[in-house]
Amino acid sequence: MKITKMGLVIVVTLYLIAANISEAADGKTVIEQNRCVSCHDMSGNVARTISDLLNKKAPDLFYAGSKFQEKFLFEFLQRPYPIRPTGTVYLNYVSAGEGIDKIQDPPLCASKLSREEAQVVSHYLMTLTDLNMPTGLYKRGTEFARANAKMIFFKSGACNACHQVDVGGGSIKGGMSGPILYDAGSRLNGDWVFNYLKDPQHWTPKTWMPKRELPDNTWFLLTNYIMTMEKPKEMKMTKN
Amino acid sequence: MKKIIILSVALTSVMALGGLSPDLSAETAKANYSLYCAQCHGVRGNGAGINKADMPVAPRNHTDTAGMARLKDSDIYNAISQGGAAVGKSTLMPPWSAIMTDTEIKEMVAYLRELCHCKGE
Repeated sequence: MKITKMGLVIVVTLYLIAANISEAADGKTVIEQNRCVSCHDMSGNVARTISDLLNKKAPDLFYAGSKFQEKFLFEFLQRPYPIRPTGTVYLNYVSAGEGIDKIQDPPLCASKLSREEAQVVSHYLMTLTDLNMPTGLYKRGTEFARANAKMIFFKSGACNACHQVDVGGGSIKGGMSGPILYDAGSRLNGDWVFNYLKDPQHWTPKTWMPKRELPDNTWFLLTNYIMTMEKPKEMKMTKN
Repeated sequence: MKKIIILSVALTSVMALGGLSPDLSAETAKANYSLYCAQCHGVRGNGAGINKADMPVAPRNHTDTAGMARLKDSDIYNAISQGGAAVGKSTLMPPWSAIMTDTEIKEMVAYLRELCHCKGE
């Protein structure tokens, strides 16, 4: 029997597709065994009231494949670290204080998967996408006006009022109510960052992140800047 | 084959999520304050929010009767709706008009008057 090059390519491609499908299905099994859905929503049940929001124990993952980088998921699932300094919903971990409100340490994600489990789970999570989200917008390494982007981030947009960032010298500063951003470039998908900045309420209708009406080039500037943020090796955290 | 079917079902369910569109009912001013405002202005409205520590300008204390009494209701409305910069204040205060309805913002102004036990000029 003579096997043509084209035939070989088709066989190998089908094998790889089948392997990917099998791996994603295995990841779903691991997720079910570890009861991840007891904290994370993976079916699209967004909180549409503040009351519902308060019941959220962990971030929604039904669009994880649009939001995250697979490499981040693979590493995080093995060694979780705090991304939201005041928990998934800050109101659940804050109480009145005199000079400043108090923060109760939120629980860390309980995931401690093995390398093999993390691989199949991260692969499965990457299949959970928002098919309506425009993609192909962000390109890593694109040159941008960094000074303008910083001006928007720190001044006119005041993003650091709610998000912690690396302000230089390994020092982390910023607000506590939003997720950290000093690791955003290695955690998030740039296309998702762009789309989320434009309309945060599309994914989380009751998020406390403001929505601003700004031109796309402003969002591109911010996206490019945020995606340059990598987790510093040595950090000096500020904490209330 | 079973795994393929499971995955197909999962993917189909995700595709169905494609049309995310908020269809939300109005919230009370107290609930909106706790979600949107308390992060900076504090859970008691005394300006002691968790984001305060690294802010160059302290969030307004909404329980400050004398200070709040100097503000007109229209100024408060505009600050909430269009952000601090619209009324000559800090850009740290973002606009909320894309999130709260006109009625919700008006109710928020009234709620702030409850917090400060004051009326505007």
